[in-house]
Amino acid sequence: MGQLRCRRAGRVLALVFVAILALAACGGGGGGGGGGQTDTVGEAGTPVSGGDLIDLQNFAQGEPDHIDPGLAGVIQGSQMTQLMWDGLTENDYKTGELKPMVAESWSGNPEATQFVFKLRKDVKWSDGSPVLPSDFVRGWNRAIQKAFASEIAYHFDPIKGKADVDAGKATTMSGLKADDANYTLTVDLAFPYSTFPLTTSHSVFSPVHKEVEKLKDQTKYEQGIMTGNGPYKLAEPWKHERYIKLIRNESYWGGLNKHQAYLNTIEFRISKDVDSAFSDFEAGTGQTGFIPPGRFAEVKAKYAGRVSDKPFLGTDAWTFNMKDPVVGGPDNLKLRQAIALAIDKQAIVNTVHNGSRKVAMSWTPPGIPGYKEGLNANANRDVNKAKQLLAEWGGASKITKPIKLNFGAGAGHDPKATIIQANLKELGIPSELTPGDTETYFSQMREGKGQFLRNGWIWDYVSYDNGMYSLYHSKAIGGDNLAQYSNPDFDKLVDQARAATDPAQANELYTQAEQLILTDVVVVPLTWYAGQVAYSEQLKNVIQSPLDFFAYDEMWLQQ
Amino acid sequence: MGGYILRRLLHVIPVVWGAVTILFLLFFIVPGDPVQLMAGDRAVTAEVRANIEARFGLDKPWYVQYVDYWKRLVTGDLGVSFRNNRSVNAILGEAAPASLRLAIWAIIIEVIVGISTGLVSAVRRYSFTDVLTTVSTAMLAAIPVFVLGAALQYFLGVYTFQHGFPDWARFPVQGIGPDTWTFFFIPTGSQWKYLVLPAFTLAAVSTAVVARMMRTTMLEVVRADYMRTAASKGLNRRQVVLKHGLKNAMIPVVTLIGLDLASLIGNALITETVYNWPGLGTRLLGAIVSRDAPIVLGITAILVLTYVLMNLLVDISYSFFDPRIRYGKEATA
Amino acid sequence: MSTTATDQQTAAGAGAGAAIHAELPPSARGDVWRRFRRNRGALVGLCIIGVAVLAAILAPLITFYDPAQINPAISRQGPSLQHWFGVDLLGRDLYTRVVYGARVSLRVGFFATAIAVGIGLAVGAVSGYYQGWIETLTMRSTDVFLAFPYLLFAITIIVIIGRGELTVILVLGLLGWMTIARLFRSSILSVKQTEYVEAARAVGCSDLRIIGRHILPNVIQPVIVYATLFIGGAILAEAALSFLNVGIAEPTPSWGLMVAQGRSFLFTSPHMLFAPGLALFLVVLSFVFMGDGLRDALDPRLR
Repeated sequence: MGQLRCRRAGRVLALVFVAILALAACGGGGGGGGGGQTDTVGEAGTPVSGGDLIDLQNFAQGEPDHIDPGLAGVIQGSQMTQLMWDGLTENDYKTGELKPMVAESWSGNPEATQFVFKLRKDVKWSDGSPVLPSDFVRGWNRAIQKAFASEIAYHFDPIKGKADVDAGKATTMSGLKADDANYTLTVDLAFPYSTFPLTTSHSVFSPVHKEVEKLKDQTKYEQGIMTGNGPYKLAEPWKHERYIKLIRNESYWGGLNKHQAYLNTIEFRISKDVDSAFSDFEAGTGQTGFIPPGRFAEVKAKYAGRVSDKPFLGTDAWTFNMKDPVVGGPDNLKLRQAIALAIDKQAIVNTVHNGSRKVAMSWTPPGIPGYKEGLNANANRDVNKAKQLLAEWGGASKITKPIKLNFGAGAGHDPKATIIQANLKELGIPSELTPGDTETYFSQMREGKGQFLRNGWIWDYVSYDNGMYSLYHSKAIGGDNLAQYSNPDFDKLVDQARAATDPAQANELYTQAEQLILTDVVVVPLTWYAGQVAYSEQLKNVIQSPLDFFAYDEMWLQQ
Repeated sequence: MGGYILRRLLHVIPVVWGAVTILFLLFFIVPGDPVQLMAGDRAVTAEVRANIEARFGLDKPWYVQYVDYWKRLVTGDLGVSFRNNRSVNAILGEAAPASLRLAIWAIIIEVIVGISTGLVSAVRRYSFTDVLTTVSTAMLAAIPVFVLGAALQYFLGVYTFQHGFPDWARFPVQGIGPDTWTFFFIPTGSQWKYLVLPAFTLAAVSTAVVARMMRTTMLEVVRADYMRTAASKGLNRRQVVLKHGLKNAMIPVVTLIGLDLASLIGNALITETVYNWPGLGTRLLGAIVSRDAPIVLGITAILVLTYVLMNLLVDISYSFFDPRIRYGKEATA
Repeated sequence: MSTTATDQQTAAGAGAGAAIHAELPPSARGDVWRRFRRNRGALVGLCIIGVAVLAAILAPLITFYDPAQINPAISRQGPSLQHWFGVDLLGRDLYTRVVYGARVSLRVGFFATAIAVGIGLAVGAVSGYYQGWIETLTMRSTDVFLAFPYLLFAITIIVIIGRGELTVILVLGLLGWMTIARLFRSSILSVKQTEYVEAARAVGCSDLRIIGRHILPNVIQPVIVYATLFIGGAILAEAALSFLNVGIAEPTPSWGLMVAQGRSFLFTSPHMLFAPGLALFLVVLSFVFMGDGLRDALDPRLR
């Protein structure tokens, strides 16, 4: 008896072995994925209501830390708040233009220090109660409370009275006045800022339901069911590390396109590993997938017509520490120019991004109102000119210690840094990769310890100012101005632009400011960000906004 | 026997204390800035920093924090996460069952497959089965877990789907699925499909090790005098092997299974990451990288406790295999 | 890591081997070598490791490119006449990087093992030879370290101290001494009471001499076997750490890092995974086979 068992065990093992070998043999080039039928985005018939979407793209890189509108600073979390709350304004998903949402109109005074928003009367919370101006005031004040410790409270800096709350002298912002009877919201600003309404499209400016007043600890709000006024609402509390499930809000006022959302429910699955999540999409478990970096070209070919790769408003760049004796300041301008000209940005696009992005020809990406083409004279690689400029500066031998290439570890910047290092080596400039662990990287860069550091930026809203002030104004040193750039001419231009009420005039000033940072070679823009999402045949009307949000309320599933 | 168990239980306390203390020191003594980490890329204003520090008591000196932490720990309160203020107990409660289920199945596979293959290949030394087993277990012990995982994912998940294999050959690539179980660890409905790949990936290395160990000890035992005596007494081969040989060979194997739990935890971390299985491993990894000390300390304390208790169980199980222990003598080291 | 090496040897060595070894004179080398040679797997393993070591030493002579030389134009191309193993994402020659990677992997493996064995022998000797409170203290500390999920501890320390080859070596070594200490201690325990040790003490040899000259040679066998397996385990552990992004960083050509990077392209450019993966696999496997062979050769009772 015992011998039979032994033999069977051996046979089973052998069979398993053979099976695995057989599968491996039949494998090899996985060509011809399912279907292959191309379909133009959004033009395949009339939308039908119904269907449940399993989304594998939004949280393919991991769980967001927050989905509370007052706390959600990371784009993946903001995607949730965008779907669950409608704010005063919104950026049109196709054109990026600012559109009225809950505010049907607004006007500003000539000094650009006060704005009055007139709200619609037909917007309701998902429990049926009306959305009032005081709901906005409640939400805005809530976001800046000290105990809340929100990292995105800085968006409210322009509002009068915020500084007092920060200093502990007040609990609410004096610049906010809500007139519920007339449905108007008046906002007084702390300084002239003509594009303030643009900023209100950020979900931190969402209204918040009065149910929060019952909570003792505001940070617990996002662990339960939050009431919103957007096209979707939470079907159940956030299931950490698994999924976030949204269900259509039947009390929705209809939005800009005047219709309810089509999909019944959306289950946003949370993944830890981009490759596994995309394998799952390929296996048919979900209808959307985030394309892993480096597979872009292959996936684009395989899923032709079902890939959303529109550029969105973000620039990947490396910045010089302007206070560094070797690379910073006006004396070393030629060195910076040489480095900028030597970097092979196209190689980075081809290898690291697999063709999914474009070489950045200026700092500000196209899609920002006021964008001007080709502001960066040093965008295209020119090794000869670089060598010449380097010689004029004094030659590579002047550099005694390798230049530090600083970047945050584990964020995928290693291959770019390696390419830059090789490019610099061509000129004879020694450099060393200096990854900083995420914990200390930003604080060290803020203290000015870097030399040539990676500093990308994703725009918070569709405004020129967003990429100018916080990064290059002297007041932002110690904040997001990692370049330690301090130029009174630049400061003056940006301050004037903020006060200018004529948008054309403002944009002209911003353009001049941008030209300053590019000719000073404060920053070397590498690429503009682009989407990398693939989706299944049945999913229609996939629209990606310039801020990399997706209009899930416009999508529908073909049954 | 009772005294033995009691003594071993007492040993547990200093071990857990030592482990948690070491981690605590690592987190709070070494310079770093957990506040900045929580804030991410943006600058942290002085006000926000003060708020966060006050909330978590980070502004107090480390020895005060240490005492505070133990005060809470003794009452069962593991603190709150730095990142989103959720109670660590709640996070543990969410994540632990998934990891436990995976681990239970991996251990079942490891024990059954490992022991039986080791036994077979020892008894039939130099047969084809033996050679096959030796080679395959050596290979499985050498292959990195994440490579094995990726290969299984591809061949049994993506490839079978894309080439229209029948449903029984297609396995889900990631995730835990419907999360339906009875008796805590028996999968119901389609749950078993989600369980297969991660469980086998996790079990693979341990199974190989157990099989090899089993073979080694069995080979030693088979040649011992008492085995020859039993055979000469007239017992047939099967009785000799199972009744006398197996029990003696089991002791080192059981020891191995107990000690192997430590590496099982490590491999579980990788397996859970590859398959997106929402257990303690994935939480822990994220917490370590973002220096979310309360979660790391909390989960580690639980893992250490579990590991130590499991080894205690292993030690107690010796008494079933070795009657000398039942009567009071401790097993060798 | 621990899987291949750890506890296999604890039980084997502690349980069966030690008692018998005490009765043997210091092993006859020729005998051992003959038995080792008979095990084909072990021989193959030894050869492969030999090749790897040679390749590591002679790296600049047998490769044709600079491991850091990038060539973005041919990114991810497969094997060809100019590039035997193909190229990686940045166009670097994989054959060159695999050969230079042998240096890194073998360095990590050997030095981590050296540290683990060094500490383990010291601790094991002390606690085995001197009973009483020293023994209790060392054994309790061993328990504490052993209770730690090894990979977690490694990740935590590396995240705090910073990535890099030195850190990885230190961490892997510092977390691996426990089993050796235990192994060594139990071997010593069983040998301590034998006649020739008593005789040595009677003659007046110092403790150190007794440990070094009389006990050590007899009880070193299980440690040798374990150490061999540990090297393979350390190399594997480094690969795991790199996969989780806490191991050795770019631009160093480490096999673990290359495997982790290649995994993303498993379906499109599999050579990026298989070249370093196969090297990793073969070398670790060789250490496993060698460890097996050594154990069989050194333990006469198995013949």
